[in-house]
Amino acid sequence: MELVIGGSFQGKLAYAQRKLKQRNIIVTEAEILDGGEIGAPEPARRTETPKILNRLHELVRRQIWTGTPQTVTQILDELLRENPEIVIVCDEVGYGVVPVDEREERYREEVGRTLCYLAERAERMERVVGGIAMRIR
Amino acid sequence: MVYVLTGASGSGKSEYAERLVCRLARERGITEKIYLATMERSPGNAARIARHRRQRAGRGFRTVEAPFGPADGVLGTGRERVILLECMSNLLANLVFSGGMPFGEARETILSRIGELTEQCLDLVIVTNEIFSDGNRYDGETAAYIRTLGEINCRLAAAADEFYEIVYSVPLCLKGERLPKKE
Repeated sequence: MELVIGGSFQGKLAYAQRKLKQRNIIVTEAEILDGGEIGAPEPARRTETPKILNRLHELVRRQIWTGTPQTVTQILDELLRENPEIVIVCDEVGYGVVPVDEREERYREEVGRTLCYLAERAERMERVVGGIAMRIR
Repeated sequence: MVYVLTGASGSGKSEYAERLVCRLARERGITEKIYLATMERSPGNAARIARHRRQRAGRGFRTVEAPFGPADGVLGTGRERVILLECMSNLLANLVFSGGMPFGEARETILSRIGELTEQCLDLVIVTNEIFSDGNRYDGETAAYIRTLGEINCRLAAAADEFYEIVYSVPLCLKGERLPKKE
């Protein structure tokens, strides 16, 4: 598993796609991993074995705001068993003052902790700024 | 040696800092490890304090409450100790928001206190916070708080022997020698 992190709109997904050098890469949005749906015209299904998991932070947000049957860690453990070579893309969201809203605070904290969990298991972690990747691990 | 560790929320910087302190003390053969706790006790952060305490348990730290910085004389004489100060963002917030100190005075108070601390230990590890990139615009006091913490971080980094950002438990070296990938 590899991690691609960075601020929003930095070209993280495009970088992950270039990395894999494959056509027809299946991208699964993290929000639908737990069975929920997002507004995409044809949401990728869990069974399609994604090569890229995009927008992991949205899964954490969903967990905090509406709850998911499994914890984020359980969902990811299952995913990593099925797709050990997956590239996971996630926004960095914790670089601001602690928000007053308790859920907003928890969201930032939990995205960080989830990334700690994954970073420990990742073969590689890169931060993308302006489309350029910097290897952190 | 002065180590400054910064990072985002949930980045694993405090866990990393504790392990670093334990290693530094072990390498120097020092038993006294002091944890300068800056979080003010309130119902709102009881859970957070409990989590930090659990994390520290068994690591042999002596916790010294220091929401406004350590009280005079509380550390004792000599330098045979390693100190962990966590964290700069609380210390600044306490001085200005609870203590009513003007921002500039708080900044200078903190930096001179840090200077004194470096004389009271062999290694000082300081944890601070990256709060500078959320793109929001804040009102006067919050904006001044962010700016002051930024100024403190710049001065700490300039004075530090080693300066790192902890990126989800992985140290990214900004100044000094590379720390181990994992403490």
